[in-house]
Amino acid sequence: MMEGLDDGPDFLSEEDRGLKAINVDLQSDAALQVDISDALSERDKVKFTVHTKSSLPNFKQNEFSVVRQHEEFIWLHDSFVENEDYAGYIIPPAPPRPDFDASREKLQKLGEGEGSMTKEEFTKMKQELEAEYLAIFKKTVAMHEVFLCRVAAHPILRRDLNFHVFLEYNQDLSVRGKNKKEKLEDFFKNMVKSADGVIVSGVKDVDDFFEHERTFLLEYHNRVKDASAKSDRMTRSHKSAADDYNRIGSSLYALGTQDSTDICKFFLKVSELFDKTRKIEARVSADEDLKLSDLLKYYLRESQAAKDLLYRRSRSLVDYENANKALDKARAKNKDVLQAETSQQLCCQKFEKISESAKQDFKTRRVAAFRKNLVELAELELKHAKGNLQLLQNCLAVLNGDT
Amino acid sequence: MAAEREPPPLGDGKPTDFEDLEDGEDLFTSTVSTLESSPSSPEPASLPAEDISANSNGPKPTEVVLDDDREDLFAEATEEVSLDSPEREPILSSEPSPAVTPVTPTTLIAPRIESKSMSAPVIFDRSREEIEEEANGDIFDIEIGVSDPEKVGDGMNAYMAYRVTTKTSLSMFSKSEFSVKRRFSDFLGLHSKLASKYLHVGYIVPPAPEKSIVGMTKVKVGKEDSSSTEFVEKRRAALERYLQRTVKHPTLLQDPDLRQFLESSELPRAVNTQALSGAGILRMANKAADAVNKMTIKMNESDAWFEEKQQQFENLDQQLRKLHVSVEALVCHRKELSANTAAFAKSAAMLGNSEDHTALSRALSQLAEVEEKIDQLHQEHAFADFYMFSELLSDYIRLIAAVKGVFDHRMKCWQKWEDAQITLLKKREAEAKMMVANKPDKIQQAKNEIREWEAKVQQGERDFEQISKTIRKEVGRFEKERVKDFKTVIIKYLESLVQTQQQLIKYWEAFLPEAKAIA
Repeated sequence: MMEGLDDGPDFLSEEDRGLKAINVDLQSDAALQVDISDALSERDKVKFTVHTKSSLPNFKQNEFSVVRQHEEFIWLHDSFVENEDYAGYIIPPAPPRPDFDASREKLQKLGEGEGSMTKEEFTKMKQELEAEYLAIFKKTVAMHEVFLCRVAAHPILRRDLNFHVFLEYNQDLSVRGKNKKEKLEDFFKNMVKSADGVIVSGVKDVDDFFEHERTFLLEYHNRVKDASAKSDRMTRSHKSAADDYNRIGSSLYALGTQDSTDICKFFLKVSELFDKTRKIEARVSADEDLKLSDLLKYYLRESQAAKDLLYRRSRSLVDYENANKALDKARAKNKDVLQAETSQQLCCQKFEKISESAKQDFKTRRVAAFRKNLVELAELELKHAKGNLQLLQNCLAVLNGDT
Repeated sequence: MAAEREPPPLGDGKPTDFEDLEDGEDLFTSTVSTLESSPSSPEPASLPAEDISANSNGPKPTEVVLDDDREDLFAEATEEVSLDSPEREPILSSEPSPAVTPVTPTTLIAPRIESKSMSAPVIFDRSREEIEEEANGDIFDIEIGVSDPEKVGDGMNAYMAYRVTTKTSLSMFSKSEFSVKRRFSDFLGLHSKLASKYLHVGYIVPPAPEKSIVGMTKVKVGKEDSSSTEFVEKRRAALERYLQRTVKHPTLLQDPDLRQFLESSELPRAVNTQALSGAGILRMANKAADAVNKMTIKMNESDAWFEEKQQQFENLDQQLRKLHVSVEALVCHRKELSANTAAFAKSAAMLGNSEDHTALSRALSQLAEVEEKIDQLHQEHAFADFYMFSELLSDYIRLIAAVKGVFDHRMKCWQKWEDAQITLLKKREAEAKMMVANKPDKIQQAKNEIREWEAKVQQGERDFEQISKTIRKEVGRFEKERVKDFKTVIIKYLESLVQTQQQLIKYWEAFLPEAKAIA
């Protein structure tokens, strides 16, 4: 396993620029700036160094860092979700768990197969796997960072106490991952929620805006899911094609070294070309993955969060209506009227609060994010295609000059 | 028979004597007249059955008119062919003089050209170089194209007919541009004829494309889908390459069978190429026998060159196979990439539709279009990968199998020589025994047999040297061709890659302002 990324910041800074693009409104805010300055991969845990710069009075210092693990991020996210006060906001989606399983498996298989391939092949594949590992690592760091930045940028959420504790408390938060019982509870909760969601969605919304939003979100969410899956498959094929270049390069190299005629120089040059082209193709695939697939995946989660918001709102609407009915019944029976009234009041308030805040624009952030990412995608594709082109033209010049 | 013992005065076919070749021209002219008369007679005599068809085209009077330099050769074509051994090596019918002259002493001295010896090709080879140097354009000025696959007939008896177009300025063809219709089994028939004539003598005959029962059945049944059109296209390209390689070979180019294939409008149906025909089964039996023999022949390799070359070809074979596997994987993945890109394009278009922000929606639709175009690019790229790179490799893998076959024939030749030597020894022993036992009639018979076997031994030795020489030449030529082939194809491939990248750049450059325009 890769122990400690000393050059962490350099790698990350590239990613920072990339992923911060998803949240365009962050840079302007000097009052609270959060980023992940370093990350360490240890066995199967990743330790993130969360660095905060703030001029807010709540914090003891202006600049400080703490070390956090993935579970603590999840704890923070869940605390937001469970907080009734935030029911009216789209909670930034939680970062996905760092998943090095696939990479680890490949590394293991490589180690086992070491005897069966030549030294060059082995070193090449090892380099390739290490690069892949590094890429996954960078991605997971970026996603955690994006989460924190979104929270920091949100006018309400940034004031959350849990958030401040998360940022500042330099001891371990003792947040254990959910044990089996809790996970089972979660599972049931989700099932109930989805069943409920179906019931609740049957209720037509009084407000046209929300009705429209709901249909839009539903469709959008599904299509984003589809696009994200296809984009994933596309980048993966791209990557396997790039891998093939690797093997072709080594075969050509072997041919070149063994051949006795003057074609050996030729083969060696072409082998070199394939090696270089492969690096570019791998980077194209990685960039596509980053700019396109990740963007879509992020918006998949985001639209899910927006759907959750709408669900909460509908839920509260149903509660409100139920409370109304209860109130009517109580009035009819002339029993517990006050109680019913207060509960109805509460529901009403809650509902209206949610409705207010939910009108926040899901849209502008998305538009800006797509714009940034698509532009960067196009620019990167251009850069790589030009690089590829130059490589090919150089190689052709050499080969034609030789013959 | 007596003639065989005495090598005719003018040289005895050893290559070193050919230095005198230039002066031999006169020799030839004097014998031309006799040549023209003799062809008719020996014809029916002792042609080995397999070559009848080949030789029927042989002795055309017109064919005596050769290129100037080639005429010298036949002056020295003095080696006698031992005509009685039924397993005589097939004759090179390209030489106008009939291979077979039943041995009448008179015909020996005079038209030496008639002796279709194994040495003939060597002379031929040497002067081929001269020809190359002098009339560089002439020999290789022939272009072959295979096009217009057409389905003929219906059902299981249907077949694809291909148009074979030849453009040439060579004098041996009656026209400078002509085309004929041929079907796949015709190509196979041509190859089997050429192989039976030349492989044994050490010429590397390019292998024909492989049969494919599955592919053809689909076409026959009439399935008009992309896989069957791909199959037909793949086959067409393979047939074209096969013919081009065959005509590039100077010796094969002279072959009348090849000429008939290219020129005549009606070709007898090559039934022997069917897998389940009598000939097909015979072929399979022979292959099995050959494989067993290969294992049992232990040859004393006196010439390190051959051993080295064989090893080299083994290595090359392995490497090419490995490379071929990787390239095929690449083709597969690129096709996958193309399919996935198309799917993504559609998905992005749908996303663009549901997006209510107009600029973003438009940008997403543009992205979908770009990806669609890129998908096309990937497909073309996959085709380039395949047709240029992968097919080249599989062609060469088959060619190397042919080369290995030629080396094997040399081994068999050596084996025959060895066997002849052993038999001679036995005959001598038998004779000695007869001498002791003093049986006059048996002694005479023994003496005859000894003479017979001595001739065979000599012939065996000559054959072996001939085939070794031919192989050396052929391998040299093969290597040169290989280098040229690989270089041209790889450069073409890289150029197509350049095209792809340039197109990619164009597409993304068109998209960029759209993405920037999202407000």
